[in-house]
Amino acid sequence: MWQSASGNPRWQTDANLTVSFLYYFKDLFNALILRPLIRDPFRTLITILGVAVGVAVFLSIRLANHQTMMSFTESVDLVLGRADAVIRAEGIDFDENYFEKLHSLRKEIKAYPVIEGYGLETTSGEVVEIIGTDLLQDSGIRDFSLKTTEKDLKGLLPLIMDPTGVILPEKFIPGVEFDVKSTLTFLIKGKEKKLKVNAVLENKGIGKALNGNFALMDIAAAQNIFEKYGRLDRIDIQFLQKTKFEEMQKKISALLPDHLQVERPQRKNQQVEKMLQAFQYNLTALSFVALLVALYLIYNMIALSVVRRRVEIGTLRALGATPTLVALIFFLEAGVIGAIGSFLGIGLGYYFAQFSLDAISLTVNNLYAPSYVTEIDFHWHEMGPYFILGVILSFISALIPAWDAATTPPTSVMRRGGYDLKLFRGSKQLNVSAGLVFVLAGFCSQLPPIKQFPYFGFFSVFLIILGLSMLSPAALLWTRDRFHHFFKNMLGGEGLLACMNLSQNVGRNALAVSSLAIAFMMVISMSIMVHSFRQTVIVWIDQTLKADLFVRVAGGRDIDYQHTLPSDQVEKLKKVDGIAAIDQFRAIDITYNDLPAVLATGDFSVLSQFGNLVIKTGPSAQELDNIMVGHNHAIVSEAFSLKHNVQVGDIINLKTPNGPANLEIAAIYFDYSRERGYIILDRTTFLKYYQEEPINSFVIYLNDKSKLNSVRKEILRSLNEHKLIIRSNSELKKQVLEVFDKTFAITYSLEIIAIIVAVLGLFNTLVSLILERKREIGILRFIGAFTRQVKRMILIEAGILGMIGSAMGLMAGIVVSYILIFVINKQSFGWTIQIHFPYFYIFLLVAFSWGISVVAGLYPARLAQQLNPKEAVRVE
Amino acid sequence: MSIIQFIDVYKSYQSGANTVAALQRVNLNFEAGDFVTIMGPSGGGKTTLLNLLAGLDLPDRGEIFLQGRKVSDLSDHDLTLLRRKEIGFVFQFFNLMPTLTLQENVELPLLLAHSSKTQGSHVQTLLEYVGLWDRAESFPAELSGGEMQRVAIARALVHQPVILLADEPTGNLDSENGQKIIELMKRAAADFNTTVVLVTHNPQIAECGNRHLEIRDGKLTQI
Repeated sequence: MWQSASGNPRWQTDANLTVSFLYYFKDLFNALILRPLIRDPFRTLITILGVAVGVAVFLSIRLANHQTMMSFTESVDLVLGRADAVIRAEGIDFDENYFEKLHSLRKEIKAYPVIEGYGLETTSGEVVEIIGTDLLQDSGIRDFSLKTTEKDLKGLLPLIMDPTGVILPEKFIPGVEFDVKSTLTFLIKGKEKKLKVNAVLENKGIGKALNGNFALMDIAAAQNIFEKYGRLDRIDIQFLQKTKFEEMQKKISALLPDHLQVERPQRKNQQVEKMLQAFQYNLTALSFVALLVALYLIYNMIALSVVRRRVEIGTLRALGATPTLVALIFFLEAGVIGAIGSFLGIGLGYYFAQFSLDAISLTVNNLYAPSYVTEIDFHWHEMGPYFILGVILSFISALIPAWDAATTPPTSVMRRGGYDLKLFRGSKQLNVSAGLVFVLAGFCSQLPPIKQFPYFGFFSVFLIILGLSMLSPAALLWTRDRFHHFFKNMLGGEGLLACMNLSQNVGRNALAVSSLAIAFMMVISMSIMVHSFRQTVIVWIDQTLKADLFVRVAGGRDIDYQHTLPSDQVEKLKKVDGIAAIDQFRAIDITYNDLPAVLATGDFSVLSQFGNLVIKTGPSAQELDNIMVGHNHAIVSEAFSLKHNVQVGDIINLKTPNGPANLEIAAIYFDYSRERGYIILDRTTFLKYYQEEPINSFVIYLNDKSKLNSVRKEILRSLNEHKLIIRSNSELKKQVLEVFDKTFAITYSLEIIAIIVAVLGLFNTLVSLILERKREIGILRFIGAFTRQVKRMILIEAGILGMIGSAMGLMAGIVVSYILIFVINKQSFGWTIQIHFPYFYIFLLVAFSWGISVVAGLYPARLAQQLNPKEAVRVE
Repeated sequence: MSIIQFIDVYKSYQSGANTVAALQRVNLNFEAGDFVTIMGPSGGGKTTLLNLLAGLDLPDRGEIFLQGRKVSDLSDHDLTLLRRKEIGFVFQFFNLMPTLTLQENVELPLLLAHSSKTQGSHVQTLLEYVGLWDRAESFPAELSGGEMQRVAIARALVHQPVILLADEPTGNLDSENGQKIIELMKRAAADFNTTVVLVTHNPQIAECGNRHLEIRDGKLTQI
């Protein structure tokens, strides 16, 4: 056995060493890390709070995004069950006879016909997805258990026989009371349908789909209520043998027309993921700002700790402590703050996430797809990565001050009053580096997206943040040099001292200023972006929405195209007195190049004469009728053209029920309604390929505006079988802007939180500066300063710091707004936004940011005011 | 009339559970133009005496009169005004504001008092008096210890105080510079008719006053 010099076994000596190291470490940890933190509870608490809020904001957005995505994928998985493949025609139903054609493959596959549609439950006003399947067969593919009925033929037969029978999940829409045999009213395709609850699904399997906004029917009943007689929306396929998907896809496709596609079941999830990707990534990036600002707070705290404990560092070094140990002290201090902050942040994040989820669901619902998720699925055990992220980022934020402490010679560290952070003391080199970083940011902003995502755009914003931080010492020194006479003349000795103090601890002042500037930069840039977007949309709807009345079927959202009206009944309205023209609109959701898109159709002869489209490239809207009516031409939205890289003159290939359609792009127009992009055909072309007569909505142009009310009444009378939503021009415009404002509400919340975290940083800095300047404040009192003058000096200093932060944030915010609008937004969503500055709002924001900085100085100012001058100079 | 008068002044403070008598029945009387040096060991009560002289502290018992005004009758506001107008301070560690230039440092008491003297050449006169006008735009960190103390003296004199309190003004200087500072202070006392009270450990410096006191265990004795 290996023996140590003392004769003990080697392993025992090693173990003893380890134990003694741990004891030694525990003592050091207590003395050098925990005790200093506890000794300064107030600022420790503020920093922890800042980290907690930063982590919470970031986590909440991640959780809410994840939950939104999960609700889609889980529901799609539950609804599709064990399907190996899905047959569908894009955006439209198809003849059920194709189902029969699959019979020849009966030994290899089992097919399940499906009808899918939406209905509005009238008491709650909630949209419910209704699935019609062959209930006798369906348990083979979907996992469902009926709570109140036997699942055999005897139990199921009454359900199948009932043309209005519906099965609801046990956990249906909250607040909607029902029981077996009760009747609920649904608005389907604008008509009220009374459906009888024949059974209840247990809360498992498909019963949990779509968060309860779900109903199951027999296929025949579903065809009946959706008026899809002899039609199917989907066929789910189960492979009976172990076969490669591609092989079976080939076999099935051979039996079907081209426009029927055989897809993997996961495709819908992938599409939703792709569709939401840009929106979710953008939101995550915004939330990261709060985290970043919180990290500045840790940096600040550790930097202060280094400065305050300079004598201790010097003594430790003099006693033989290595630079590594000194660095370790500050690393671990950051680690402790990071760990507690992250832990609290995770708890707080759960509550923030609920708020974020509501906001995200609203946006997703308005712009993308129905979102039924209502609750965050939170599990502590899944939060490990966020905790680790918080701690690692805390370590990173302590790198510079820890390195600073470790590498400064003990004599300089101990020197009275002459110590500040080296890196941010401001130097020509730092300014030149900041300049280079800005140039690099400009270069990155010109680079194209990668996989439709503006990675370089975000990187250039990050570089601007970096450059801003590097430039902040110079900004402080510049302000001191240029304005100290001004402050002296305007505010006397207090003004002079406050201004000159900017350079006393320039490193830490610079940090407080840069974190404020970063948060403010994001608020300003987002405000300019949102305002510009809003103004652009206002101009666009003013130019585009020319009709007097907009009519659509009630039930569901504006972007649901399942609800239709009979076109022939609408045609008859053209004879009504006062109506000049009617433009009928129909749209279907399709995929193009594996990306979701909308194929829409309208009457270009009406549009050219009465309406308008804002054209980006190609002939004007007034000339389009000659090009579009009766021709194989299409126009596409700007978003579509950018996503698919197509230009005027290019050919779009669509698989239609009447064979392939090759359509030449005649124009590209501006559109801000759907991010996925539109292909628009004239109604004549659409009918030629799709033979889908029903329409989703129509608009009416009046030749006599005074007849608006009588026309409205006539529409309701003529289409009295349907529930309609009729909006006038002004009502529709108002609604568009309401949706717009709600969509961007969350971005404001994120940025305001970032400002609050930054203000906590400023507060911390001011408190720390006062504690450090105790002696100077005492001297001021000795030489005749009133306490109110001391207070005033600190408030002026807070005000100047706030002003510098706001000014830098404002300038950077304007630059970043250009990147957001012309790079990030353009590359993410494909929208051209005209820049508009909300001058008054920016003024208010600057005043707010400045005001809140002064407020942050109130407590530190009081602290300074209360300092006892005798105590302050006792060091003498 | 006496500029400073202490009548049976007692002052004690708490040190943990113990009460320490910092000053015991101190009586003193300083006239205009006196250059008083007070010597004593650490903990002898020098700083307590200076704090009482500056109106930064009040006695437990006894009366203090500054320019005939009873200190215990003055409010905090009045005491601040008293320091602002009547008293100048010179410290061991100079205590100049590191971020202000020499000119601004000297000007500071006037700025805080919103005094019109800042408009004139008063600050220049004083910086010339201490021989540093040519360095008026320098920062304290650019000066030697002796130079910094000269600026501190200029700052202490800028508002033409009646009393100049100096707490170990040479304690951080070499003997040559220390001597120069004492000479400067003596000259200033004579030129501005200011009463100087200087506290020191150094017996040589203590010899320089026209009155020399010693404080030990809170008791003041004339030497």
